[in-house]
Amino acid sequence: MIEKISKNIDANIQYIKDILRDNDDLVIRNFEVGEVLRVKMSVVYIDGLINKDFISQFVIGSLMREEDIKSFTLEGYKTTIFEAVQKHGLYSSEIKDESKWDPLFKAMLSGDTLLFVDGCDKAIIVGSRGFPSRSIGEPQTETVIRGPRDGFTEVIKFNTTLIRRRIRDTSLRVKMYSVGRRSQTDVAVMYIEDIANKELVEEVKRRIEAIDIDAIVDSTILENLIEDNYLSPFPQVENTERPDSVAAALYEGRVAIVVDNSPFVLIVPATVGTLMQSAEDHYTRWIEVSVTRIMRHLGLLLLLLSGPLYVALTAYHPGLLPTKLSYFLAASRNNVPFPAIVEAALMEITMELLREGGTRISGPISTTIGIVGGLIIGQAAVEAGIVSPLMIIVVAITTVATFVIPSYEYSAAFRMVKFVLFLFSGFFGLYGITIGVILVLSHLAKLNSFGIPYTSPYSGLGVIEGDLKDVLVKVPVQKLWLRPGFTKPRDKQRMRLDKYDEKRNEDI
Amino acid sequence: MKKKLLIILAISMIFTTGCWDMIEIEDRLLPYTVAIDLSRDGKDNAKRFFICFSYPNINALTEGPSQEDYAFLINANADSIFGAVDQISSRTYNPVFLKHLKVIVLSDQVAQNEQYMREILDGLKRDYIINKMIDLVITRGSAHELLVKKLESSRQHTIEGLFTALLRNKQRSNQFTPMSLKDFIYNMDHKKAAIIPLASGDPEIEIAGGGLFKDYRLIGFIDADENRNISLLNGDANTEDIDFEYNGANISLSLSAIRARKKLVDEENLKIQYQLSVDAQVHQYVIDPDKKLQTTEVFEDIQNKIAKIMVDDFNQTIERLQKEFNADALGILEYLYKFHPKIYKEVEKDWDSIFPYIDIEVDVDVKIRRRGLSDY
Amino acid sequence: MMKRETKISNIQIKALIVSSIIGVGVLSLPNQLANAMDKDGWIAILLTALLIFPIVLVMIQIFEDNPNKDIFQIGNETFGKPLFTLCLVIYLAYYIAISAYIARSLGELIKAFLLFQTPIGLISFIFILTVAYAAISEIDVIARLAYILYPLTIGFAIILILVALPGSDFTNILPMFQSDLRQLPNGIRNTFFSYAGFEILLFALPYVENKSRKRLVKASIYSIGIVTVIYIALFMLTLTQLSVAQIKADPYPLLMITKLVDLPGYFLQNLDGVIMTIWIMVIFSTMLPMYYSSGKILSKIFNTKSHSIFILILLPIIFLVAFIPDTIVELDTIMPLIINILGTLVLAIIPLALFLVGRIKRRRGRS
Repeated sequence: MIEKISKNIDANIQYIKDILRDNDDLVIRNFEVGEVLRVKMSVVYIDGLINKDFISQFVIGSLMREEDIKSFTLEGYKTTIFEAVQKHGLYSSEIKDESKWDPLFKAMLSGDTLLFVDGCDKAIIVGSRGFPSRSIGEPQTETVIRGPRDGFTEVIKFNTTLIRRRIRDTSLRVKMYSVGRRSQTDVAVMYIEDIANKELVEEVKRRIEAIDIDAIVDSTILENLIEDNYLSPFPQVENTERPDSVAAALYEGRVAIVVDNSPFVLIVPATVGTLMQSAEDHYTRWIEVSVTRIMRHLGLLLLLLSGPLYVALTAYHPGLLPTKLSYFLAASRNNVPFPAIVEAALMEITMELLREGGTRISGPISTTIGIVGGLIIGQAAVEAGIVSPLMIIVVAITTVATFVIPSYEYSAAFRMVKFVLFLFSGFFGLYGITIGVILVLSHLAKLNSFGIPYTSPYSGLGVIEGDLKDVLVKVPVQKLWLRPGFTKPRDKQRMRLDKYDEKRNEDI
Repeated sequence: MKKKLLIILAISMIFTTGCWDMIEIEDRLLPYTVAIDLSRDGKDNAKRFFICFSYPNINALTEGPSQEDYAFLINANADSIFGAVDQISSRTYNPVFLKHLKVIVLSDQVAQNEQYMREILDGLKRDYIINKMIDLVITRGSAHELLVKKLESSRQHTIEGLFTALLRNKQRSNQFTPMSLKDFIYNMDHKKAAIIPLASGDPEIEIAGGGLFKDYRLIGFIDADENRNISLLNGDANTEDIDFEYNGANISLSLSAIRARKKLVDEENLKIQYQLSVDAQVHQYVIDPDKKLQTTEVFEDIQNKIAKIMVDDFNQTIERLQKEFNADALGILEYLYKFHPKIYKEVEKDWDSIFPYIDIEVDVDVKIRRRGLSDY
Repeated sequence: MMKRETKISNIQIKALIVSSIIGVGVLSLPNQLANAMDKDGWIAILLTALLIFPIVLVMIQIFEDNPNKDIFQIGNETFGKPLFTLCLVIYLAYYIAISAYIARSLGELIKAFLLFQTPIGLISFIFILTVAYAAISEIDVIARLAYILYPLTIGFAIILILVALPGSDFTNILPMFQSDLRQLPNGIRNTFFSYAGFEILLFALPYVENKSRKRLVKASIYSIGIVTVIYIALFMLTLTQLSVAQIKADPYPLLMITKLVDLPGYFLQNLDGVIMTIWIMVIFSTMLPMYYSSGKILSKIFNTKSHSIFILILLPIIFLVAFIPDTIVELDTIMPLIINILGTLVLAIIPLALFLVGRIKRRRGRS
């Protein structure tokens, strides 16, 4: 391997050809500039990654047209050819000179164009990225009724721009990294310097710098690599497709990690409180948000407990049900040949199959799956006497409940925990469920997200700052005058009440 | 890693040997009523009780029932309820689970034996599973036959058991006062007397009146009116209807907002005064232009009349409790214990000889508030 | 990994104290009180709370006198290593005994109310295992769990009161002030151990974020106050529901109350299961700090860095101790006796001695 480029342009071009052999999308355009010296120059780029019009017009075109260079003779000038090219010859706004091969290749593979000038031991990188990209559209996974409609795309520059447009603050920081030995993926760490906790930012940077892997295909892989506890089923990093959510998080003193080629931006730290918030919550009135949040938490409980409780109550503790209900339950289960736990297992497996089938196949077929699965199988199973009608209700409630939790990863984690609870309840009834719940709570309490307790604010951190006002319920914005305390922000105050009151008095 | 493997192994061993308590709900026998009689002459003379459980037939509860009988009876001769459960297990393929037991019907013969009562109630109280709010009901003659009668009466079909339904009826009159196991024991501790609703089955199941208990022993029966009077005095009654003749026509009044307060007015001679304040509403009088309910005088006259009728009625009942039964179902001893602990300490020991001679005065204050949708 | 400081916040310490105190004894507390003082048991609770408070102040003062040291360093300096190791062994024995008692009582109650056939050893073992899983972590995780479960501890009392309220007769609290005042010491002796658990302060205080004396005293007044209010409320509640004779006869009057609740039309008609579930969590949060402390003590005695290995070693020990008593009668007589003797040392005598000896040594050193 040669480290630096040589002065001989032919050697350089040959070297590029050697390294990128068998790449037919490599384009090399040789041309000569200057009537006197006839300096050999080459433009090298990868076809498809760049904006060709731009290069033709503002690099090659400008060089050929430039009068100074045309009549360039060494004697008549104080500068070198290279300097002349750099300072006068290019119309392009983004240029950089580089003498090492590594960054040159990296730039070329990212979509920049290399300009070699004969006799110089430096090459010029011209910013010309113009690869095909999706336009900014509405986020697929997080739609809102009222609120901005733009979502992230796969291009990191677009994404950081979308965030920047919402934070016109001089202390917004965008720190770029490139991660992955082979993939050289761009990763941007974004935070607001005088809000975000310094240790938190340092920790995020440290963890990203410590990664040594060949490729980061998507932000999920980065997420797994920087998590505190990778064995846990619970996600310790939040992700979102919405720039407004990221901006809101940054204003709360959290840190965003934007990964190239992924429309999902990571936000740390994540806690059980933040994972239950959805973007819609910012745009809805506080009473409605409070009710929906409570419903969401109820959904979480139902998702986790309704199935195991059904098993525990029918097979272990019929005494806990009201008398009438227990007789009806007995009557409805009268013909079912399986114990409740087997019945539950059957239905849960069916449900998981339907879910997987419905997610992979889109469009009209998934509707068919829904109808066949939900209606026909359920109906037939009850009529055949394999499961009791109540079990169908329980499974249906569980499934609906999985979708009310905003974070997909979070609800998936609870789905996995539910299966464990099923086992516990199948063996020890209510006692087993209680033990299971305690184990889950203990596990959650042990988890940290970037040094912040995962169970915040329920476990104490941030309670004094009033974090509980925006978790299970949300109080009016006027009452949320402090930033959430769980991120330990440097600037705690979000709103100055006295000013607010003054303004209100004027209005009246 | 080895440590983790060991733990996983241990846990999986627990699971593979487990499921000790798993009995599906449809595989359990869930009785709601139990009747206890003295054992009848038969082959099994050694046992003291004839115990009969009634439980719902879950096959009849499904949509499109496969069987018609909505309840079954199963009985056994045994020395205790738990002995009976044991006996039954040889004749049924489902384990008996007593958590949903709601009513226990006692025959008067059982109830007259203090020892039996103390044993049965202790069993119910001591058991971990049985609900302590289980209702007690007493019957003259055979309790078992009452359950049989219940099966025959198809009009009175309910899911949770007929007795429970009758006892829980919110609109019930004051002809009986439900008595739960917990309340019964409380009353025995504090009043030394209690009234258990009396059920009879001719021709339909009916609960009216009660059996009067003193020191865990049945000492007599009171009728529905007496029961009403006692529950009015105890403040257990909320509404009541009363009919009497006034000015040559029947007048029907409904009483509500009944508040009863007892007060010790004379500490020396132990004189107790009851103050009853009642709101009344005219339900029915007569369409007759001459008989109008328009002046305050008429109202006052009616009020006085009712008060007199009620006071007479109360006095009769109190007289019977004091003289005939010598049972403090009114809870005067409890009242003294709570509010006059000094006097309580003096009289507690020989309450039986003091109670019949206590002066009890009843003061009724009726206010007719409404007269219905008629101006006269 | 980021180097995390194990810190407890000041609100967590309140929760830690409350959930350490309210535990297995709460179910039988009304029974003990009624046996000692009839309807005036609440006086005993109140007086005990007043008695406990100076001890808590002494504990806070110990750490005030020796800033930035934990109990192990302070003890070694004050008593000398051999004597303090003996003290630690006493603490250890106390914690093992009380943990065993909790595990066994839980097993007995679960077997009686929920799982009739399941072997009791298994029930207790699973519970100890669950506590062990959480006890392996450091004190900050314990404090977090305590704070999460703390609403449940209070909720346990509130739910009990709410469900029992419709059927209560408040005149049953009367007559008051009728019992023999000579019984008071007896009553206080009985209730003193209902407050056992506040000694977690000894292990937790060094990790508190804000160690200003005023805030610590405030936190402990608050937490002991809450416990007292809960105890009195529950005792009163029992009185409104049951006769004194019954309370005296019933080993777990509060459980009896859950069986008395019968709210028709409610989804869960018989609430004893729900109450049992919450109660399991409540005593989990009681046993957790004790288990953790015993692990920590062992790791200090043997001078190891992490206490997790000792948590595993303690597991079979606690299990075996739990099953030394044969019958429930033995369990309810022997175990409390042992716990009482050790408890007097652990709760009162050793902290007081630590404080006094420390003071005397300091005065000598100064003069």
